[in-house]
Amino acid sequence: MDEHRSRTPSIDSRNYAIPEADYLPAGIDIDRNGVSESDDSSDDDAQSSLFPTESSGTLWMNQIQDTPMFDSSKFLFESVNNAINDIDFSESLAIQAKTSALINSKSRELKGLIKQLQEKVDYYNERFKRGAVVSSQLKVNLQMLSKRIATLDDLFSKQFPIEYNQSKEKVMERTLND
Amino acid sequence: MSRKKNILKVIILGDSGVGKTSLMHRYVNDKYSQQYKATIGADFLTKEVIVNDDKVATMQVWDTAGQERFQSLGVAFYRGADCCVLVYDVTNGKSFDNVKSWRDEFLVHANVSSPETFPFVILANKVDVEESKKVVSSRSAQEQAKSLGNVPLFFTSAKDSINVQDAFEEIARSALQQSQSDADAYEDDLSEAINIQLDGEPSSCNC
Repeated sequence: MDEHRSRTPSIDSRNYAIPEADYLPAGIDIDRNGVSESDDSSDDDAQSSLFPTESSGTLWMNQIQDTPMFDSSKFLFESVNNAINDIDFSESLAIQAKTSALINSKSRELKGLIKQLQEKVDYYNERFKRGAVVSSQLKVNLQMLSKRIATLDDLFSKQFPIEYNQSKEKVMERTLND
Repeated sequence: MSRKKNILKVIILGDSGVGKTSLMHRYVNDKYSQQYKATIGADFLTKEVIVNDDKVATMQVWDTAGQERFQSLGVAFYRGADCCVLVYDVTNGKSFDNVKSWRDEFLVHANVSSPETFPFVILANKVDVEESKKVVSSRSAQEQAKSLGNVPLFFTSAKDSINVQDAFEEIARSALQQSQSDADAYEDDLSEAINIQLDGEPSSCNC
């Protein structure tokens, strides 16, 4: 096994890379339409070097091979490798863990509060139901007492009219404590 | 170009309050604080170490939350660990009982290539306390370490700096060994790469 095996891909992306502009002869610049902006006298020469003929094809390819170029696959491979190994990546993981833990903690706290709230709601619901029963009983009792008071009122007003009226005056004038 | 820049990733696990953070700070910064502050999620510190007298590496020590409420929902930081440190408190029997659970939890989430050979180290912390307060005997600790696959066991005290350096030196050695075996496995994987270029095919386009 070859211990010094390269970890770059088996395909050399330089074979397919676009050559940098500096391989072109000095003074030649190409606009989007491929028209030379140099003076007219050098047009033919420039075009002949820019667009290879059959005879100049080999030379053109050789120029591309010799020119230092940007290796995109190597750059990507190294970038990903650095990104994975970097301390920054670990720090981002730590921040993610902290954030996640805080969310976890708050989520648990909220769940606890919701549970407490639910228990209190159930407790007060039960008390309200019992209160409703008691209040209906109280209503019945009050109605019954009201009737009895009315009966007694009627009875006393007829049997003891003087005392009844004196008492009534006391009640009306609120002089009961005197 | 090496896959790893000699970074040894170490994860410290254990129950709440056993002294994981104190051990990490004692080892990395040689400091100890009496104040207790629960760890939220996870945090890490790094330290340059020299292993086996010649290999320089950066040890990345990950301290984790022991309290359930502060445990992270995602334990992505377990992945890629080279060694796992299991800590318990000699005055807390429950923390000792939970050592195995922490080990299992780590193996579930770390997705290690070989769980049987993955290096663990057990630290029995707080040995500085008086004997009457200790509830976990050395013998039961040794038995458990043996039952978990002869895991190295150290009796430490972050407070009094007892055995902390020795323990982390062992951790660094184990981590480096694991890291190298992982790198070898990676090399083996690469050697099986398929060459997609056909024999006799020209190397560049002729069109």
